[in-house]
Amino acid sequence: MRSVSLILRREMASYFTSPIAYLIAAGFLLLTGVSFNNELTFALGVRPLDPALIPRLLTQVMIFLAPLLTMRLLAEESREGTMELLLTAPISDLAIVLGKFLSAWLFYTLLLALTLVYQVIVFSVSRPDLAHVIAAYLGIWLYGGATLAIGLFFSALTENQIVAAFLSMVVLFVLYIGENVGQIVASVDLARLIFSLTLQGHFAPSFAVGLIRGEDVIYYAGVIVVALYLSIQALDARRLR
Amino acid sequence: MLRRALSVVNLLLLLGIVAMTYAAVQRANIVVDMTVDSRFTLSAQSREVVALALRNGRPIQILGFYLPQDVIQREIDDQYWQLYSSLSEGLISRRYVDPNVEPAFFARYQTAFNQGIYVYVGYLGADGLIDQTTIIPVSTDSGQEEDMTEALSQLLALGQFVVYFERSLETLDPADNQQQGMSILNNILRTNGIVTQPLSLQDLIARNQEIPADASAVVIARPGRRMTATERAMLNRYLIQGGRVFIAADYLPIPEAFLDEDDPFGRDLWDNFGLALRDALVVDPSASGQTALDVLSAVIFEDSELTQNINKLNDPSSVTQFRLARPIEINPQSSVRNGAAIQTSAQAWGERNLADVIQRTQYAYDEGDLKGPLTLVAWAENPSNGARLVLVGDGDFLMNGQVRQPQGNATLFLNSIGWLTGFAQQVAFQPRAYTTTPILFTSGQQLDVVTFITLVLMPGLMLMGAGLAYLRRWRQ
Repeated sequence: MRSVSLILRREMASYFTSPIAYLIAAGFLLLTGVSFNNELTFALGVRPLDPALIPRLLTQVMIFLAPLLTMRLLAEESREGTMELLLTAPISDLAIVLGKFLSAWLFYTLLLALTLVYQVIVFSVSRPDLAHVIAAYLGIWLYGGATLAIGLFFSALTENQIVAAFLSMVVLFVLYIGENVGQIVASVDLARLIFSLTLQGHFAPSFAVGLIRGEDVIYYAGVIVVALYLSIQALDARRLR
Repeated sequence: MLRRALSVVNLLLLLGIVAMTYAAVQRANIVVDMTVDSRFTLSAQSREVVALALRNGRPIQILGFYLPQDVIQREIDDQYWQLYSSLSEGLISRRYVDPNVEPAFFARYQTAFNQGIYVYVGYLGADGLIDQTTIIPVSTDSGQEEDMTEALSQLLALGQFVVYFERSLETLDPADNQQQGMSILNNILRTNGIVTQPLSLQDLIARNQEIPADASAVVIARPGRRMTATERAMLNRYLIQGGRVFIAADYLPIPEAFLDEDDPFGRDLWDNFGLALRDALVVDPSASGQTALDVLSAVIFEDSELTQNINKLNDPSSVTQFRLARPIEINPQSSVRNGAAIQTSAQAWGERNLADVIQRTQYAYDEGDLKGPLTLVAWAENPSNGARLVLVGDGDFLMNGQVRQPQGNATLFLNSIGWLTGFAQQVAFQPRAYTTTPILFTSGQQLDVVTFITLVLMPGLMLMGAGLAYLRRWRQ
């Protein structure tokens, strides 16, 4: 546990000393800010703001954001030659993977927390559905965790950050487009099966509408656990090499 | 090699555990409804309807048609429909049909599907299929729960309400699908589970019978002749016994017309319900259609059940329009409860010079005319015997040619039948009180501050952070 915390702190420090992390945060806030103001204009005096507005937007943003946050986590260690040091240190693969994953998830959580400013604004000018907001944020927090775990796996798989990011984006995009899968398949049953395997399939019909379903929590937790396990295996394979 | 095989086995084991946990949790249906108005939890009213269905005991099926591209809609709808299934312990089952997979079965529903109706409820037949004679379409006007509970209420009310259309007074024909017929409104009633039947006062008298006891309401739509003394006595007996009557009468330039000011039945209505149709034609220069004789519903009394969804904001088709309408006088001192539902504007008047209007389409306010605002639709209820009456000073508005546009005409008739029969109270879903409020800024300046904070300040601070981090690295 101590080693996990050590890696977590080291990674968090590297996030906050790197201008890239701040630039990502600036871009992230600009994107969500534009979306928020746009929605605000339409809702003004007419209806309450969609409590899941920002979380819905983030389901798309995460296709790009997760690879950006995770591509360097393990791939950079290999590129800079520090991976050998890390692997020979008295730290288990589990601790390395868990520490790196938690650091990315924590950074993402901080970014997500910044968007709560929008909710504070909304609360000051209307009476929105607070519990619905909480459900949507919980959903996108788990959704984000799953995307980061997938990103981490590709970062463990390759030494090249660009390749890791590209592969993550492809997989996350495929897992996102579940919403539109019905357009390309002819059978509802097949469409439902594919939909139930996608990240979007466990967000749009539940968290986004104010529901917390046990199965969706298990799905995201399952994706995280499996992706982390695969990352550990990839790291282990690298250790053997 | 062994290590690799072991990790594959471990992976499969892990996937198996995740899949099994997922399946178990899915089966347990652990759901927390976080919405402020408990949108995904059945209300007391819906639970009451399901309890009614359980007492009824007849299996019900929810039949939905979903294309592959509607998979999200199906998932969301199913979250509601399964609440009905589980609460009814399976008595209310669900069946989803893919139109691509079962095109023959879908064919009969295709027209409605194209108009946005894709969910139905009905009793299950012995063959395990939905009984077509009991099928009720589930509208998509409100939320899923409202729509489904209303449809289930209609299903449970099926056959309970019988509306009779009087035919021997030269009234509109509810079976006639021509412009001058009344088939559209008749069909809407039937679609809602109300049984409609023709009724002839003349035949009943000939057979020495009374108006059937199962009559939830009697409709007298644009009668062309006055009632005989025996017909009048029969209708009065029905009303005294708590009958419900809808009367929509035109002005007819014939002697002894229905409910003209000399009609004895008019006196009965005045004495018993405090309502009377006047021999005048309404002219409304400030709330009318093509001419001032096409009067619109300028004023509606919102507390009346008759005016629900009439004169809706930003929906011009929700008004009612009457041509050559007669004003209604209301006696406020009547012994029964009565009142106006729809009135003209204050600028309207009741033209008493009927010949000029009918023969030369000429009208001008002069002394002797009735001053506006005038009542176009009125209601009365006798609490002592339960009798109810809706009186409309126009009969043409019920015709097929008049109910499509504006839609308020059809709404008025359906609301009237709903109120008269009690059907509306039985199937109506009371929307929950939403406690969320719209976004309201007190000034434009406040909005500018929000834009500044979210689009300039917050991203700007991050950019400053990036700059500082870069400077620190550069110095090092």
